[in-house]
Amino acid sequence: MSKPSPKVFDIVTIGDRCKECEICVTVCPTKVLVISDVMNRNGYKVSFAANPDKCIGCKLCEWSCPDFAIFVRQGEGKSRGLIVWSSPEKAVAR
Amino acid sequence: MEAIQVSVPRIHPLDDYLRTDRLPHTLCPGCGIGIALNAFLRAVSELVGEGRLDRKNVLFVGGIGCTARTSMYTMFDSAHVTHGRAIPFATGARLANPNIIPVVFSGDGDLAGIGGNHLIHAARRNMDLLVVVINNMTYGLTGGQLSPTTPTGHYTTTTPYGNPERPFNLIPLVAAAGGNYVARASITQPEVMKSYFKKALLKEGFRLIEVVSTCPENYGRHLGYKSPSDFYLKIKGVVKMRSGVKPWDVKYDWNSEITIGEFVDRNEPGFSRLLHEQVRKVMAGEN
Ligand code: SF4
Ligand code: SF4
Repeated sequence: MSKPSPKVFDIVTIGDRCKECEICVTVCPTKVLVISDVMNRNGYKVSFAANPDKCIGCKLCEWSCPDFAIFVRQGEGKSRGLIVWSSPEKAVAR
Repeated sequence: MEAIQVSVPRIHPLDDYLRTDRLPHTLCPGCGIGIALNAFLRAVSELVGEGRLDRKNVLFVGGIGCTARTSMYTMFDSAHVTHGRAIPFATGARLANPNIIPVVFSGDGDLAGIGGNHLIHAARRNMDLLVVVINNMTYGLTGGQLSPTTPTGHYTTTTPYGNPERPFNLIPLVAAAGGNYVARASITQPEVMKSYFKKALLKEGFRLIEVVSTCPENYGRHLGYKSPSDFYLKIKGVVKMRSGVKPWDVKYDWNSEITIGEFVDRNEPGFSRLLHEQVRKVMAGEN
C-alpha cells in the first residue's frame, strides 16, 4: 500500500476557474507547469502540471494564482498533474 | 494528460471563504488583486485555525472599483458601498458594534483618490479599521485613467502624453496622519503579505497595508507589458524589502525602488475604545 510521502504532490488545476494568465507558469521555480491544450467553456486554455516529478511543493503557484484555480496537496505514490472541474456541467473532455 | 471530473463545489483550500458559486470572478486574467485576496483569506483562515479570530466578526467592505468588487466573492458579512465611502461605512459599523473587525479592501482610486480625506482622518483618529489599499496605480474598472498613485511619466487613458503629476506616497502620508500600523507589501511576495495581514487583523487602532499590485489589462498594456507575467516581473524587480526604515525614507519610485516592509507599529489606544470609555463615564456621571 502506498503511504503519503512528503515529496509526492498532486498539482491540481480547477479547469473552469483558470484564465490562462500564466502567472503560475512564471512563478514556478522548477518549471512544472505549462498551458495545456484543454480549453474551458470560457475559452481559456487551462494550466497543467506537465512535469509533476519536478514539483518541490513550494505552493508558490497556489499562492500566486489570482483565480483560486490551482492548488497543491500531498500525493501518494508518485506526483501527478490533474485537471478537475467544479461540476459535471462545467467539465470539458479532452 | 487526463481530465478528471470531480463534482465537489469546495475543492480549493480557500473555498470555505469564497462564494464559490460566483467563481470565476470578474477580474481580468492575471490581475494582482486576486493574489492579494488569496493572501488575505489565508491570513484569516490561519488565524481562525489557531483560534485567534472568529470569522463571524469580520466585516469586509469595499467601495467602488475592481478591488472593491472582491466583497462580492468573500464569504463574510460583506458590503459593497459607494465610491470612496468604504471607510465611513466601516467606521459606523465598528462604533455601533465594537466586536466587529472591519476590513476595508479597496483600491488606490477609491481610497487615496475619491475617499482620500476619509483615509487621512480615519488614520488621525486611530479608527479601529484594517484598511487594505490594493495599489495598481490606476482606475482600472473605468478603463485605466490616471489615479493619485500613478507614477510620473506613465501613459494612461487620460495622460496620453505621459503623467505630468507627482504620485502620492501613501506610507509617509498615513504614518504622519497617525496610524498604528503602516506597512507595504507586494503581490510578488505573498507569504510576507500574509504575515502582515495576520498581524494587522489582530491589532487595535488604524492599520494600513498597501499592496503593490498590477492591472495587466487596462494599465499594463499602456505601459507596454504584453502579458500579466511581464508586469508581474517588473513589480518583482522594482520592490525592495527593507526593515528599520523610517516612513519618510520609504521610496515610491517606479524607476528605482518601491520600498516594502513594516514602517510603523505602535500600540496607541484605538478611537472605539476611547469613545466607549467616555460614554461609560458620562453615563455613570463621572464626567
Ligand atoms: S508547488 Fe512550487 S514547484 Fe510545485 S508546481 Fe507549484 S510552484 Fe511549481
Ligand atoms: S492556474 Fe491560475 S495562475 Fe495558472 S494560468 Fe490558470 S488562472 Fe493563471
